[in-house]
Amino acid sequence: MKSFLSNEYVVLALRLVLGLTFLFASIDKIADPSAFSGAISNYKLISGPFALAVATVLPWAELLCALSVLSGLYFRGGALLLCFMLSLFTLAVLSGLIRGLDISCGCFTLDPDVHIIGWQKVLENVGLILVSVMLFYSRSTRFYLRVNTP
Amino acid sequence: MYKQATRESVLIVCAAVVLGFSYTLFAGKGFFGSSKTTGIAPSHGAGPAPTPISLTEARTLFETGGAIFVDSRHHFDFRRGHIRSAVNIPLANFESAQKTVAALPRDKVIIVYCDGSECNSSIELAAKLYEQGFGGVRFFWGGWQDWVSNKLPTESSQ
Repeated sequence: MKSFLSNEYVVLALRLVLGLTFLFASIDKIADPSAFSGAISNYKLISGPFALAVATVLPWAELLCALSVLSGLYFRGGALLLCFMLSLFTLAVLSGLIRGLDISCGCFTLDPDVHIIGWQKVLENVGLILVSVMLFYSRSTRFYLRVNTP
Repeated sequence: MYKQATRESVLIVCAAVVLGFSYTLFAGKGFFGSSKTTGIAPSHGAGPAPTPISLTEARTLFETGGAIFVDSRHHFDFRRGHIRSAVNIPLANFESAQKTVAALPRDKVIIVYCDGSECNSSIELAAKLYEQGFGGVRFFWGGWQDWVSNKLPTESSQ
């Protein structure tokens, strides 16, 4: 595993997967925080001004994390935060599934009829959590803007 | 390594808070966007622009049959429960629901509602109906929550 996480091309692939995923995921949400707040409220876990505050900050956190893992600046912090956020997203989706909610995920697009939550979304998130954990423990710092030694 | 990563994460969150609120402030979105209390500006001659309606007035129109209720929430929420005899036109499906829109009576008041005071889809749908030439459109801010808490007639499609 150590040699796997030291392979510069494996680490580059992990960074691209995680970074580009969250880069694209953040764009729609940044453009329309009110619609994203609606998508969050649909989970019926938080609502009102609190949902709007989350919708205001969360997409920017996703964007900054994406830029950090793509560039290598603060990449461990970015990977750690992505892992934390992905865990929360997964719990929210699981809770929605258990309650039988038929709602849009609000992950990549804010169109309410696209990406309805399901077990596939849970698996996707688990996969991304694994990628973020591997990136956190990765040892290669090639292709980084700044070397961030452990 | 863990301490440094935690510090970096906190830094990213702080930057996200500053960027998020600064952007919405300058772009006039989210918290700093137009609120629903601004109402809808009249844009054509279909009649008066949509205005809010109180629970008492909505209830009277419901009991006299002088209004049709339009539910702008998602199909899922509508199926779980809605104002009795309401028609479901989710805001996101407005374009594909043109048959339902065309079937709305023009001689009655159209009362649009969503979940409650925290949602905006009722006012947005009211604006769309108004733009399509419906003159007697009102939006009920209290919405589904207000209706249910006052124990007024409801039904579900499940």
